[in-house]
Amino acid sequence: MNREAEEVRSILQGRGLRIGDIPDREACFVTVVRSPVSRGVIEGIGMPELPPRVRALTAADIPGTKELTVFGVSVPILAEGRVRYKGEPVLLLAGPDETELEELAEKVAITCREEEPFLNFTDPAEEQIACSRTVNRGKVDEAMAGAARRVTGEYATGTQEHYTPETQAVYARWNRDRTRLTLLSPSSWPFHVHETLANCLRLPRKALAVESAPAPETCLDGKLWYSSLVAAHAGLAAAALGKNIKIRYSREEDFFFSPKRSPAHLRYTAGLDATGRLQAMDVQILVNTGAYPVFARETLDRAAAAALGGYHCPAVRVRASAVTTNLPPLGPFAGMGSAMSLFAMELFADKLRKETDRDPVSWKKENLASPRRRLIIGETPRSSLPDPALLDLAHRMSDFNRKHAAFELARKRGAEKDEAPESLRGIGLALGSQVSGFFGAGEASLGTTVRVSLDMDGKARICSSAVPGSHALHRIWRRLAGESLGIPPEEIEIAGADTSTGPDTGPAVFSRNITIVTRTMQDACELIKKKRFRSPLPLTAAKRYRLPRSAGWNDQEFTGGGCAATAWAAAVVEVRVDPLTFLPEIAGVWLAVDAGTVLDEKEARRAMETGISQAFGWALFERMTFRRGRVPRDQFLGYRLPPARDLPNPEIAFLEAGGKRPVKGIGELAMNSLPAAFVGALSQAVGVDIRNIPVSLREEDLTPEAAR
Amino acid sequence: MRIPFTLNGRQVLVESGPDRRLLHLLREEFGLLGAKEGCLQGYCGFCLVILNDELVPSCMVPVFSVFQGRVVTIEGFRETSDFRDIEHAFLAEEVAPCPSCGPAKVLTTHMLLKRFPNPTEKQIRRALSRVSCRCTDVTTLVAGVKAAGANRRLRSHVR
Repeated sequence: MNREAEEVRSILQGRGLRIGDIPDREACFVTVVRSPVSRGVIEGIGMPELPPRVRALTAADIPGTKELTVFGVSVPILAEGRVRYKGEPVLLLAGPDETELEELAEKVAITCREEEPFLNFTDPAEEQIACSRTVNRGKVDEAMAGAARRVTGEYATGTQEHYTPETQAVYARWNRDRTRLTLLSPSSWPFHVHETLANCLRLPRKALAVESAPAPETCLDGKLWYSSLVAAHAGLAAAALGKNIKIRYSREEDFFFSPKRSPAHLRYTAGLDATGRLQAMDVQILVNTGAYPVFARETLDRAAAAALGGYHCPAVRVRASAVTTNLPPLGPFAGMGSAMSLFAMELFADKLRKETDRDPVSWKKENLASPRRRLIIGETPRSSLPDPALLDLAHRMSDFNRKHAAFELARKRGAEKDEAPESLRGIGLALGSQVSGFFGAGEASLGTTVRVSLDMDGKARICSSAVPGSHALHRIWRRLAGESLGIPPEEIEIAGADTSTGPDTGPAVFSRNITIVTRTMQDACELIKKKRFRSPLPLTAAKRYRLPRSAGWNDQEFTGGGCAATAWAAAVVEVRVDPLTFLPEIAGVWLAVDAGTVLDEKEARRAMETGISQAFGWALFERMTFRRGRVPRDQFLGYRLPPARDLPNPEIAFLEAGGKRPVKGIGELAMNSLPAAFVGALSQAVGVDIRNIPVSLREEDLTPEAAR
Repeated sequence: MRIPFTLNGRQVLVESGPDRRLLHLLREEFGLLGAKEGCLQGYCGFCLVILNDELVPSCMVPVFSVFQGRVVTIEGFRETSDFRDIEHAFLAEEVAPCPSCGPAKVLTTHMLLKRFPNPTEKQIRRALSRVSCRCTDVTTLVAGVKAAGANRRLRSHVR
C-alpha cells in the first residue's frame, strides 16, 4: 500500500488528526477579543482582574513588526489606535483554560469613538478606492458612437464562506530549551507564515520552523494569508508565556471573522454591428475587498483580463477598482477575479445574442477570439486561446441547440396560453477560463524552487513547500519523477512542507501546484538525470521556476503572455423549475474542457466535480450578506453547502488535441463557467433575465420588473 | 450525574454534568478523537456517532440522553468486518475524504447499508447529504458506497 493510501486508511479509521486534535495537555490557549464597532478609534480597554496564569497581549506587546504584509498590503496583527471592521482582533488573552479565557474575554470592554463606517461598495467614496486597473484598446467612444446598437447590462456576484473542513487553527510548539519555535499550520503558504512570525517576534529565521498540517485539505484559499495572522497570535502568546499554544477557531468564530469571497458589481455597455458582432465594450468592475485589500491587485488583473471572456472586441475600455469597506477581509476564493467577470460577461453575451436574435452557440463562435482576433491581453499563445471545438463538444454532449429551442418555444406558448406547466425548463451555455499561476509577471517575484536528491541506494527525495489540496498531487509527482529518473515511484519520498528544510515554492493557489511547481519539480529531475552521467551519487539539484522568455508581460499596457497557461471550458446546465415554488432542480450538467495535457484524468474529473459543488454553492445555495457591518447570526445557522442529493451527476469530456500541450490548472474552471450557465438556464425557465448570484428564489425577484 | 452506558461494546460509567455534549464527553473523557467538532449545530455531520442503532450528531446529544444507551464511535466500528468492507471499497475506489468528515462518511455508509444492502444512487446521495464537507466529489463517494455494499453482500453470501 502506498503512502497516500496509508494516509487515507488512517483517516477512515478515525486516526486522522487535525491540528486541533494534536494531544498536548500542557499547551495553553488563546482567545481573541475583537472590535465591537465597524470603524472607529480605540479610546480604552477596560480589563477584568486577570489571574497570574493569564496574560493579556495587545499591539504594544509585539516586539517586532506590528503588521503582516501580503504583496505590499499591510494588515495589523492586533489593531492599535484604529479599528476597521467589527470583529477585528484587538487583544489576546492567553492561558491554560479555554473556558476561563472565554469568560474573561466577555468582561473585557473595548471602548471606541465610533465613526460612520463605509459599508457600501457599489457607489464608493474616493478614499475607499484601494487600487485600480484600467485597460484601453482602440477608440471606444468612436466605436460606440458608430455602433448599430448599444446594449447595457448590470450584474452582481455575492460573497461566499470558505467553510474549510477544519477551521482556522495553529499549534505552536517550543523545543526543549525554548530556543526554537515550530508551528504546525494549515496555511497554504508556509513561508509567508514563517516570514510574518520572524518579523513579528523579531526572531532569527533559524529560530522558527513552519510545518504543514498532517493531512491535505481542500479550500486552500481560505488559509492563504489569514493563517499567518492566526499563527502570529499563537507565536506572540507562545513567546509571552513560554508555553506551547493551540488555537482553533470555533466554526462560529471562523464564519463571522475570517476572510470570505469578494463580492463584485459589474456594469457592461456594448456596441454591436448589424450582425451582432462586438464593436466596442465599456466595462466597469467594482470589487469589495472588505477592510484590507489583500490580493486586490491580482484580483483586479484577473477580473480585467476576463472582462470579455473568450471574445474579441476591437475597442475595449475596462475600469476595475478595489473598494475597501468596513467589513471583514474579503478576498481570494476559487476563481478569484475571473469568476465574477466571466459570470457577468457570459450573461451579457446572452443578452447581446437575444438583441440580435441569434442562437447562443453561433453568437459565441462568431465573436470568439482567435490568433488574429485577439483576447483583451493581446497576443496569446494558440494553446491558451478558446477553441471553438469546445462549444461544439458541449453542444453535442448536451443536445444544447435542440433543447434550447424547444424550451424557448414551450415557454412562449405557455406565456401565450397563460397556463402553468408542470415544470418550467431551461438550459444555459457558458464559456469560462482559468489562468494558472499568478497573473502577468507575478510568478517572477516568487522564486519558486524545488529540490530533488538521489541517494546512493537509488532512492529519490523531493523537497518543496507545496501544500497539497488532495492526496493525488504526491501520487502524480511520484509517477512523473519515477518516469524521469528511471526508478519505481515507491522509491521516491516526498518531504512534507517544512520551512526549516525545504525550499520556498510559494503559495498553493491558482492551481500552481499542478502546473508551475510540478513543472519545476520535473525540471529538477531532468537536471539530476543529466548530472547522473558525469557525477557520482548522491546528487542534489534545485531548480527555480523562470517565466518563459516568450512571456514578455507588459504591465503598463496590460499585454503579453505572462501566465503559465490558460484552460477553457464550455459548460451547459439544464434545470427544471417548480412553477409554484420556483425551486430549481439541476437536471443535467455537461462540461467540455480544454485542460491541455491531463496528468491524471480520474483526478482531473474529481477536481472538476469538487469545483462544481462550490460553483452551485456560490450561485444558489450559499447565502451570505452583511448587515450593519457583520454577518447576522441567522445566516450562520442557515448557511448550507450544496447537499449531495441536490448535486448533478456531471458529464465531463476533455478536448482531445494532438501535439505537445502544456499542463493547465482546472480546479477553478467550474467556478468560472457553471454559474453563468446555471443562471442562463434558470432565466430561460422562468422567463426573466436573472443578473445576480446567489439567485433569489422569491417570487418578487423573479418578475420582469425586478430584473429591470 | 453518574451516567452508565455502553461505549464501543464496553460498559462505562462517567460523572458529568447532564447538559454536556456527548461529542465533548467522548473526546475529553475517553480520548476518542474520531468524531470531530464541526458546526456544533448538528448540521455538518463531522461528529456523527451511532447511538442505539441510530446515526446522530454527537454535538447535539446531551450526555443524560445516553443513560444506559449504546454508543458506537468510529474507534469501535473500525474493529468490525463491516468496517473492513467499507475500508476496502473506499480505498479501491480512491475515496479520499479529509480527517474532518472521513469517519462520519464511513459511519453513514454503514448505517445506509444496514438499511438498504443494495442502495440506489438516490438513496446514497440522500444518506451522504448528512455530511457537509467540500473535500470529496460525490461521484467517487457514490462509487465507494456501492462497492462497499457489494463487498458486504458478498461476505454475507459467503458466510
